[in-house]
Amino acid sequence: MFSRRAARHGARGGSGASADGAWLLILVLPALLSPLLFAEGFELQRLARFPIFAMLAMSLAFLVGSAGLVSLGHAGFFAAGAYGFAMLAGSCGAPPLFGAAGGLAAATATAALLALASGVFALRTRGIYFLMVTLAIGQVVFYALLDIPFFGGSDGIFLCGAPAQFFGLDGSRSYYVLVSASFALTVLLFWFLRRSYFGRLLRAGEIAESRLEALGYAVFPLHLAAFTVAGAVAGFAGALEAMRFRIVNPELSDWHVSGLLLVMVVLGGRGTLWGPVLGAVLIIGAEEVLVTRYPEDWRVGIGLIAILVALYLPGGLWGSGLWRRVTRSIFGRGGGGDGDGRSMAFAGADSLTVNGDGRSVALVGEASVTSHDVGSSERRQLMPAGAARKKLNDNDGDGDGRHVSGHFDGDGDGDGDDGVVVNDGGVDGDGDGGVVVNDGGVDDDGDGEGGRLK
Amino acid sequence: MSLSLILLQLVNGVHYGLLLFLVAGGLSLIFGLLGVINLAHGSFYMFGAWIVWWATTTTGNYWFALAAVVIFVAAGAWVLERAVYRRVYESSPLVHVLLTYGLALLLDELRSALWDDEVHSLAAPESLRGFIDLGEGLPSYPLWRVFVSLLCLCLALGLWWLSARTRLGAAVRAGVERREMAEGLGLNTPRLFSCIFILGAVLAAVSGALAAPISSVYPGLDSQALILSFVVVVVGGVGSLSGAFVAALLLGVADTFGRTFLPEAASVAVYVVMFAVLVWRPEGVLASRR
Repeated sequence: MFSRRAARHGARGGSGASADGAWLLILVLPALLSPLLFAEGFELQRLARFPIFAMLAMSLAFLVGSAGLVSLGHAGFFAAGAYGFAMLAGSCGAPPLFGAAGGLAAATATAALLALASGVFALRTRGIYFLMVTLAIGQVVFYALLDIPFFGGSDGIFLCGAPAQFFGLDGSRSYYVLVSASFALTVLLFWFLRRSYFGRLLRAGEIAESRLEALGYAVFPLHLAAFTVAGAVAGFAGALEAMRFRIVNPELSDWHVSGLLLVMVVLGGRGTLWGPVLGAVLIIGAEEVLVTRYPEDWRVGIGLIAILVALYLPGGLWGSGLWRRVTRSIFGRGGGGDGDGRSMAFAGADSLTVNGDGRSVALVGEASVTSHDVGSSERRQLMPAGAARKKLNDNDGDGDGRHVSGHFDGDGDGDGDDGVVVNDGGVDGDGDGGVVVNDGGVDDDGDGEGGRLK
Repeated sequence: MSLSLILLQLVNGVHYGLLLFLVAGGLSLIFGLLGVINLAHGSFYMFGAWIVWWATTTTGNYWFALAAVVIFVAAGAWVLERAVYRRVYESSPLVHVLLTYGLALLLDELRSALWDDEVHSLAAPESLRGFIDLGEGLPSYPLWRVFVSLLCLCLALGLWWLSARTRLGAAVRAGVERREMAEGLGLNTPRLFSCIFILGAVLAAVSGALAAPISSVYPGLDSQALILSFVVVVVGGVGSLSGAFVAALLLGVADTFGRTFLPEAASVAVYVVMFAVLVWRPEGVLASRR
């Protein structure tokens, strides 16, 4: 069952895939905690940046990888959590409303509420629009923090009160332990969410939104829940960031932070549990090195990394097929399937059936058959098999071979898009690389990205 | 709050909106036709402002500097389109975001390396430094702003003519509507893409150059222009020039009124408008797309 599931989900969705389980925590946690032995004080606080950004990247990857929602405003929720903590648990003058634990909870709740409220607006849109609207949400947070005197302006807020201590450790050690524990909990949370029914529905929605809706699921609440969860975790990470040097400022919500988070997510591997962690560690590490070496123009390095990832590694490092290609070249053959993770889209409807819920298995089976028949049979006759398969990779279901097109007729019934499909078939036939062919043809360069990038 | 103050702010808002349209119109076309999310679009605006400042202080002639902006930015955009953007037209939005985010960082560093990170002010050309007297009881209005508004209007009209009355415009509209079909009918899309990309970049740079004497020249210009033009595109609808025009004017006026009457929340005013439009009409005010 386990291995079948892994094979079926391919590398991206493989919650059960062996290289992507929560058990890796057993290896990661000791490494994460080891600085407690040789570092202290300021050094520990600096190092805590790695797990904090790993948590942030994981939360964004949940949106991008599982739900297919590319957000460019994630730093807004990060900052909301940080300011929430600063104002509720670290205020000067009047005694703070909460202690450290209450403050963490309150900060998370603040960010979650903000995500819920803004998600209602943002999720009315998709694709490019969603990206721009989330960017705008991040900017609203940024300007609100900057312009409203209540939030301390560009200087931000210093936190008052003593840092929390426990286990008889000093302030920075306690803090580091707290961050490490939070990191571990976040890994477990997303491990669980990705395996859960909710996570599966999200992925199904990413693969074939119109089909999921045809099955009677409302996609909007699913997406809103995912957006809220991601925002809440970002806010939690923000609260930890506020505790780090006990200062917050509007820079936390700068859109460049959101961009950097996306680089982490893509570099690591957006559809995986551990990829974002890897991406965060690599990017934060690179940033630390670059800032020390080239304090004037370190952003050149980050910019180059972003460009190189976009051009040559859009599938990410973790579980993109890159790993499998390496093992295949060493051991002769790699994992199951065709090894590029694209087969998953074809098995999109099938992947819904692995939830173990007998009733919905039947439902899914029927519906997938009908949707294949209605939606794709004519197209298949018109197109070579390869093109038909790639056609199914077209997520928004409008059959135009582009993932984002600003409109979602979503019915795939050939209401005029068929003209395009015929054209595609013709273009495929003479092999000069129409849009759809190119879509899959990107894979020819062997980077495993396929046409399924989101 | 007198009527004349409201009128004055309205004029200011329209002026700002027209400048915004030049940046956002190009961005909207690039989205609509090329399908590329260009986070480096604000960098063209920034370079427009910085090059005009640099060339004006070196040569002493604003008009010469404006020509330099057009030439340099067109050349830069041409190189970028050929070398970088062309490689990712078929990729996903996520790839575009990463690529252009990296480019925006690099271009900002280039700006920092070429010049500095200070704030510079630039005087309007001598012939246009005067004020227009608006009559009894009204404040006089700077001639430069009037000139800029008129020039932007002319450029907008030119764009409309280009889009509605020329072969290039027809090709662009066809490409935005159904790119595959247009290609199938023999449209030379690579060349068209280059043209539109350069046009968008130059318009943004000209907008930056025209705004420089009013708003001064400083490092953060790129993000500011980028994000505002994103909002314009959301409000106006992707790929729609008329939508971008209406949206830019709407947001320009909203922003100016926000700054005058509610300065604490001024920066948020445009976003409030955007959210309202999203509720009212998620596809953009004119909802022209398909």
